Amino acid sequence: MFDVIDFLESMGQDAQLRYASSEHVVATLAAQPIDSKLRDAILAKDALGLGALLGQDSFCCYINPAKEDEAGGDSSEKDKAKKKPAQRPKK
Amino acid sequence: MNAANSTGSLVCVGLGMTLGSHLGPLARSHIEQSDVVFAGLSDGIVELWLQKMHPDVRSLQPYYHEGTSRMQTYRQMVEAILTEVRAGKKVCGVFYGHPGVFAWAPHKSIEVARSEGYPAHMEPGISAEDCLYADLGIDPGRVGCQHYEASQLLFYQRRIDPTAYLVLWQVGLVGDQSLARFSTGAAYRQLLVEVLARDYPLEHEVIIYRTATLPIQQARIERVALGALPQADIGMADTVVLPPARTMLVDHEMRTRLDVLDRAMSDAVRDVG
Repeated sequence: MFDVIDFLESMGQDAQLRYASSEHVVATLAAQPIDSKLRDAILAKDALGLGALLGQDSFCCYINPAKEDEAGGDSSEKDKAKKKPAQRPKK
Repeated sequence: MNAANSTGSLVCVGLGMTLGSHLGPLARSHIEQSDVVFAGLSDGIVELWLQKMHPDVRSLQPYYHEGTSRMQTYRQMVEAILTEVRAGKKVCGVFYGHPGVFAWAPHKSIEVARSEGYPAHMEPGISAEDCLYADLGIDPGRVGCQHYEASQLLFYQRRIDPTAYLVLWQVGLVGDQSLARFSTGAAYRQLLVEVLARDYPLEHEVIIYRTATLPIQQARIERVALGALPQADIGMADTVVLPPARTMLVDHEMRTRLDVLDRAMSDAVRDVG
């Protein structure tokens, strides 16, 4: 069933809808079976509110360390990541 | 299971920055055809979108804990991914933006998988850097563009070229030596400003930039003076851009030597003719 995630996907993919006026978005949303609170959050461009309605907390988006070699942490995990079992023959 | 007779494999793909807008067809195909998907994303709603593409999406988000070194977190992510590869699964690691830009875990996962004999590779995605060029109208080919992890300007002695653009990433936790915090603050950014003030005047305009993650958003583009950066509201997803402070200086010596070479080439062509 079409839901709010499908609507966001189509909004992200549609050249007209991505930068559409509020009136256009209102008209497009009105044709979809989407909860009124979710609709309001979309129209208010309230990403945090939309996330909360969908049960999503803020995400941590860091995936890069500033200093790799000097970093602390669990060395046993590091050792595990470095282990080398039997090698597959190179093609 | 021995890698030589295992069906395990790994591909790391980029989902792009904006939900619905940036995912390429090849990356989508990798997601749909894998046995297991690991998600390293920047937004819970984007993760819900990914869950529509595959029935077994495993979020890497629960590995983060404020107070725990993120290096340990990243190693745990690598281990979780490799465990499924070693179990013979066709694994797809999906990361926001480009999976190889400011992203330790995808590179390490591929390196470890290959070292153990498993096929592993990366498919690029549209990164925050790509969006930044479009949204701010910057062409890195014009005067050059330097990219630094912001803390490295405090941890190490780096050389900045103020005639090129300077893009600083992860400014929200600049100076965090523990790698265990999710943000630092004004006092830490003040030290960053002190370093930057060696090459830029305090009144130099800097841009705080954040890419749109959802299609209902617009990019954040906010201009402040360098000296006001400590007091600015800078979050996890914000990037700081410093436009050039000076024009490029002509290298007269090299231009003279190039002229000599040009004349020699012209003479050689004339002699042959």
